[in-house]
Amino acid sequence: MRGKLNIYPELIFPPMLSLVSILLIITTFTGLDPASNTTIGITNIFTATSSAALAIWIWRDPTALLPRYLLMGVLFTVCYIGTRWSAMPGAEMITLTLPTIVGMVMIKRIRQVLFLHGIYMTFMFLSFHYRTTLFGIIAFQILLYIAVWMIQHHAVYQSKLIQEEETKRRLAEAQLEQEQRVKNFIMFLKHELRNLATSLSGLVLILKREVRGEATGVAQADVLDAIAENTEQMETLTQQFILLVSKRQLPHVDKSVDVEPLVSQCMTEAHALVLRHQLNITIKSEITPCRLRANPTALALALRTAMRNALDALQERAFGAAVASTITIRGYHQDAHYIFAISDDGPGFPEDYLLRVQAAQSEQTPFSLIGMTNKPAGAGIGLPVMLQVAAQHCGFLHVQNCTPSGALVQIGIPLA
Amino acid sequence: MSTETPIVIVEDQGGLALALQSRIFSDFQINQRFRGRAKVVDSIQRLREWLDAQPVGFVQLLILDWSVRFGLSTQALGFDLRTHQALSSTAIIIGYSGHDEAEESFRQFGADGFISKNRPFAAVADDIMYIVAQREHGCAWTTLN
Repeated sequence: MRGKLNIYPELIFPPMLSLVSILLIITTFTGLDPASNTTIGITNIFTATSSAALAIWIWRDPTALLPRYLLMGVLFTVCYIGTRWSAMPGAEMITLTLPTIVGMVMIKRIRQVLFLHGIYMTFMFLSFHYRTTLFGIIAFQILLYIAVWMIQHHAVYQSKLIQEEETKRRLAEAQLEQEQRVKNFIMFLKHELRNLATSLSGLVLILKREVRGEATGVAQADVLDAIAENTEQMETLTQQFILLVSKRQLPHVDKSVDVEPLVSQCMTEAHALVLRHQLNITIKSEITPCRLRANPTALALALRTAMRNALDALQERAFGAAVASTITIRGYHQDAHYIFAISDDGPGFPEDYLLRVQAAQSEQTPFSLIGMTNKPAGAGIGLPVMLQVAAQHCGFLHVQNCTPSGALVQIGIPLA
Repeated sequence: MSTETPIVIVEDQGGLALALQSRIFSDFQINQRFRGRAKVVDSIQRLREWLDAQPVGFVQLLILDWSVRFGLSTQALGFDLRTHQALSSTAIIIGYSGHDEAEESFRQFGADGFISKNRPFAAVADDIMYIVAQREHGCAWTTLN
């Protein structure tokens, strides 16, 4: 993962070390430092370049462990070489203390480092007291081990932190999307109910005028048709809602349902819509006779919804078109299920829509699909209804695109 | 072939379109001003077909629902409606919708006003005439929420 513009504590030291090393290189080769020699100069070149490279590495990959090991390795090597070659008094103390401070800042574990530093100081005191570097070397080795362990711990912590942030971000995005879908659904509901209410209110006004014997400008038969249409819409909407909010088990789910008249009824309704809207759509069916244990109202609603979705997908293209579009409804046995497959030769579902549907389906709840729509001002109620019907019959719903074009919706109901 | 009406309603909800048509028909003020029964179409495609068949400058009042069959009316129409030959140069376009986003969409589209479907239906004819009056007095945009 490429790092953002975060400043990690360990990023401060490599550039500083590089700068110090560059200064030391200059002083070494210009003869300003009389105690210098070629080994120190080369050491400083090595430190400057390697620490800069490691800093870039850590910045680009904040969770990588290896550059941190290498960075500490470089620091300790330089300090050790410095201790061995430098003639300055107290150089050992300074150079061996530096990695401790770096480690402390890098891992932000002050208490542990202070404790280690206490041990280290004890060893150093003994080292100076007995005029031997043995204790210093032991302290150095302990510090090296502990510092590496702490760096590893810090890198793992950093990695977890990034993962947690990523998980939180994804959850927040999913929640926002869900909220948006619910909002869309509520907006749809509000719009549909208001449209129906306004329409009925207007139609009542017409009837009142008719009763008073006033001219209305519209035919009475048209008004009655409109009232019938409104009533049907309200009935469908109510059924969909009842279905969505109902408990797991449907009432009368054990009723024996003959699929042929059920499909025939859906086709008749679809034909009526095709005629009413002057669409050039052919509706075909291939039904294997079967009797299912099902709730006939819910099953009819699911099939009607699937047919309506297919009509919606095709109607723009089919309006006044020379070539007919096709909707096919097939019913067949497959394994332990009876499958209703509704397909069309329209544009199919957008890929991202299918992915979102599949992701929501994996949550096993129709509610996660509510408001998910690929139509402008669409309700996003069709798929949840179909999924709910399938789930309440212990069946399944599959949604996919066809080759070369078109959409396929399969509702599987278990055979008794 | 002309149907001899200067008013057109684009509404895909059959009952509402019928009620609106009847309300406009029976309103004295609208009849005085426009004289004619409103034509109802349920999609932008049918509106275009119908407009193409009208005489030049014939249409004077257009009432547009936002969410109609095949999509959103403002998107489907583009911005060339006013330049259609069937529309009178003083034609008034009114957006009629219950969607919250519709108002801004109609304003950007170049309509003259917007009537929310949240308003009582019984007052719709008065609302239309109010926007017409506002437009004739030079007000470029009127919203009735």
